[in-house]
Amino acid sequence: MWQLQWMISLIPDSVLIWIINIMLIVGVVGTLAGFFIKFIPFVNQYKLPVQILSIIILIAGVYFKGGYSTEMAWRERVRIAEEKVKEAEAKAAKTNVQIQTKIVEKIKEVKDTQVVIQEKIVKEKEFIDKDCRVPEVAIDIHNDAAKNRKPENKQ
Amino acid sequence: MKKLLLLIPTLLLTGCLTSVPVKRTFPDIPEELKIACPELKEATKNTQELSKLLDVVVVNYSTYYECRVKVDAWIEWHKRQKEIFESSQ
Repeated sequence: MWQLQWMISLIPDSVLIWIINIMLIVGVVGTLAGFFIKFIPFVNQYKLPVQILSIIILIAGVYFKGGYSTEMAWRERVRIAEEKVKEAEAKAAKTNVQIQTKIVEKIKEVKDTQVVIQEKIVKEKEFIDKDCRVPEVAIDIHNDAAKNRKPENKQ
Repeated sequence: MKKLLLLIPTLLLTGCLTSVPVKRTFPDIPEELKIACPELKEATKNTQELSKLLDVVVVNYSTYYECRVKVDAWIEWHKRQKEIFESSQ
């Protein structure tokens, strides 16, 4: 079935709608004519083939008309959906740039503060170290906390 | 014959079948958010100077704040992307 739809998709839309409309008109006219053909002499012998052919053309016309209308309605919905997606992608990219800038600025602020504090430690080093010697156990506790591990019991 | 006639509307309805693929890509994240938070620093063993220990503590606090910036950014990223996603439905 998709092969048929693919082949139909190759025909331009304007040409396709004309073909479908002609099929419908021929189908309707042929079907109605099938009822009156019996009154026309000589031609009335073709009544049955005309009726069958007209009904087949009418059914095919209705089928393609339905398919075409649905296809057009979906294409419009797809176009709107694609536009929305495109817009959302642009907004998402813009948001990312804003967040990226914010992160860089805030991290720079953190690093700058760290440098200032470290300079302060260097400046006050003598005063800090003057009366205090850090025991080894304090270093161990600090390192355990930094690595999130439970302290070992040393005697 | 009646069963055969039932085929006609069935066939007609298949004309209305269609599939609509609209491709949607997952939004990318800022490069900084792809980097994991670093491990905290350990102080050098046998250090007796408080200033050296303090220095390590300062670095670790900075690492925490750096990481907090990233977590806050993740929360903001998710909130804003969700808003964009929902507005485009």
